[in-house]
Amino acid sequence: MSMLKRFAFLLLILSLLGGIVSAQDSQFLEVWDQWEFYGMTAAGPALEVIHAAWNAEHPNVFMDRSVFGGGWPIRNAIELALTSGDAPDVFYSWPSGAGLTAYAQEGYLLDLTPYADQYGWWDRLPDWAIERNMWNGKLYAYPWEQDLEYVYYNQVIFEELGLDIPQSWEDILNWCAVANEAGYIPISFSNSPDGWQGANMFTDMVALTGGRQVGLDVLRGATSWNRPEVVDALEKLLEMVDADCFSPGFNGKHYGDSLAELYTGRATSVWTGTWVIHDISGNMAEGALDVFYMPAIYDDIPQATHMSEGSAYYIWAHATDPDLAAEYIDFVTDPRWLPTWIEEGFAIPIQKDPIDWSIYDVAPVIGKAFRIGQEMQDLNVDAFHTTVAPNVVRALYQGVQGVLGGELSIDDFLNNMDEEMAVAAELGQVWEPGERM
Amino acid sequence: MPRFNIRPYIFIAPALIYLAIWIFYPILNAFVLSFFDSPTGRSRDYFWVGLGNYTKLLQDDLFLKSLYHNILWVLLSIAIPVVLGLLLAVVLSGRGRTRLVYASIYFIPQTVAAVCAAIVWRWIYDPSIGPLNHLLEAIGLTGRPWLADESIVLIAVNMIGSWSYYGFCVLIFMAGLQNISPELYDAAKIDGAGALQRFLYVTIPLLRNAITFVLVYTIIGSMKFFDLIFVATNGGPNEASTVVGLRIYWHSMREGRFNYAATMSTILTVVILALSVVVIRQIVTEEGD
Repeated sequence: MSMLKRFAFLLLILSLLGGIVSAQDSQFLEVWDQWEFYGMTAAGPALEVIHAAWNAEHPNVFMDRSVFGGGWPIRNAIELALTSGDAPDVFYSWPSGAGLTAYAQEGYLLDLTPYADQYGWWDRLPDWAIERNMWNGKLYAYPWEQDLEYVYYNQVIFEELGLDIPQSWEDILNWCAVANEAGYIPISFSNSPDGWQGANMFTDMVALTGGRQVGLDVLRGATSWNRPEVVDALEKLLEMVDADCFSPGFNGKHYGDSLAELYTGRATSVWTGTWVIHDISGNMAEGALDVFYMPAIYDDIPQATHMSEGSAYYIWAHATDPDLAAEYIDFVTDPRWLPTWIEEGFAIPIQKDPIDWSIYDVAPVIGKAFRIGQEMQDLNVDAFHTTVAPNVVRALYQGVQGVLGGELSIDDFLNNMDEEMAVAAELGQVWEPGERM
Repeated sequence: MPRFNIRPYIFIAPALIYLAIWIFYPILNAFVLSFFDSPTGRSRDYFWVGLGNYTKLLQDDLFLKSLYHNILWVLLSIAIPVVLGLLLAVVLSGRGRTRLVYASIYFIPQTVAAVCAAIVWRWIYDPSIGPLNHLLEAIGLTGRPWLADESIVLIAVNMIGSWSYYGFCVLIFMAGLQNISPELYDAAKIDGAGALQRFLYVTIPLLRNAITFVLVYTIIGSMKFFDLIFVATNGGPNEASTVVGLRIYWHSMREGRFNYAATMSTILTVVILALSVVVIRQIVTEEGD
């Protein structure tokens, strides 16, 4: 055997040995998230920066990342993965509340309480966000994006019509009358195909007619949905329908169509949330966009809206390396990345302490939207549709469509909600706000 | 004694294996699953409930409403695209080569994906910016919120399906018409038969095979319809356009109630089979007479 062949043989053996050694040293992490580059989960650019830093700091970790569309695609994929017994180590999905309860009690999720202690997550998150992500005294998810709902309006049109930001219920109805008179759609609204937009407005209205406690009571199944404050909320929405406040045929319109009505100047406003702040601020003419929250309707019930986490980070109960998975969550949610998430991702992380908007390079309207909503966080109602069980969600979506379309009585809708809550209770899928033990 | 020949079986084996894995096994599995329930959706937690899911299903108003919508969908799909397709095929049959041009044009909507068709038609139906209402208003009629009105939404969505489907029916009927000898029409004319009589007593009977195929295909397609409705309305508003396929999707994929969804699938399979058999038997019996 020539020297060259001997050398090649030795090199081969060394390479194989090296491969075995490095394989033993390397770690594997499978992550499923929703961070795309457009739409409602457009923080992809931010995560690329964060991942680059993670990879630099963890050269021996091989990360297998899959990106799913936000909303139902990620949730469907996760539920199939969990029930089939082959889930990713870390996943960023929704909902908390009843969804988390169901996952946790079936043993799909890892208890994150020890990691919350280790990394100090308790100090980073507000109580309401912790409550939504606990079950049986243990934390099962790290809630991330802050969701709030308010009104995006075209201040140029408001000025043209001589309208001020509404301060009362009468102001809202006046706004609708003035805008209609001038040929504008007062509030662009789409409630199809899922109907989550109507469900969100219904939640907002319950925050204004009943307040946080009423929201908590119905979500926990502690009281019937058919109670005066909830009925009042639906009647208020019906009053808005009767006053032609919303887009014609809203029950047949899709979300993108209603946003387009705002962009094209057909509508004076759209009543939606933080999840599209990137798209809306990018599509409106400079200086045209501003935001406000729906005003208090009654003197004894303060102004509020609905809130929740957009999604949360979970670790699968059978994750290959739970410590590594928790380290990953801690890394991406570390406060040092706040500027990256906010400025490059337009995703506003849930934070215990108020965010100092003056230090971030974002449009002032973004800071304003979050600042006001976060100031009301003790008053806000948890978003109904991201807190109740899936069977209740369907009844909620279709029921609000029916009520607002005038084809379903408020009584029938709310009684149906009670029936679906009973089904959810049988399945153990009713949310109980968690309390740290 | 005839010698056993294995070659035909080898040739059909791939198709049989494919059908067994992707068609027969899922049907059988759904049937078995329908007799179980699981609080978690996981197979290890299954427990026997016998006919419990079927009893529950028959008391489920929403399921019965969905089934009713499916039946309506079948009737609309026969009444509009099939009948229209037949009439167009007959009209085109006397047009020489140009009939192929027309048929190709009619067939174009069939090549559009259901999801795209649903999105485009949503815009057409839009009460604020949709061209349909503008057109109606231009001729003095009042527009409607087509996809928001519970009383018409199913018909409005079916129109999208009909728009996609009628060209396919034209093509099948044209192929069937080519097999009818012109001499039969000449003979009927000599016997004094008018255009309507020739259509009823020559064309229809001799198109029996094509009609059977289209009807069975329409029934099966309509009963398992899903994509177009899912994108256009997701069954709304207030379940006014929901169909069984959507219920199955919702219960299985969104609620994790696979057993209940499997029960719906089993019922749907039985209904499709029953309707198909009735249609086929009716036409075969007529043929025998």
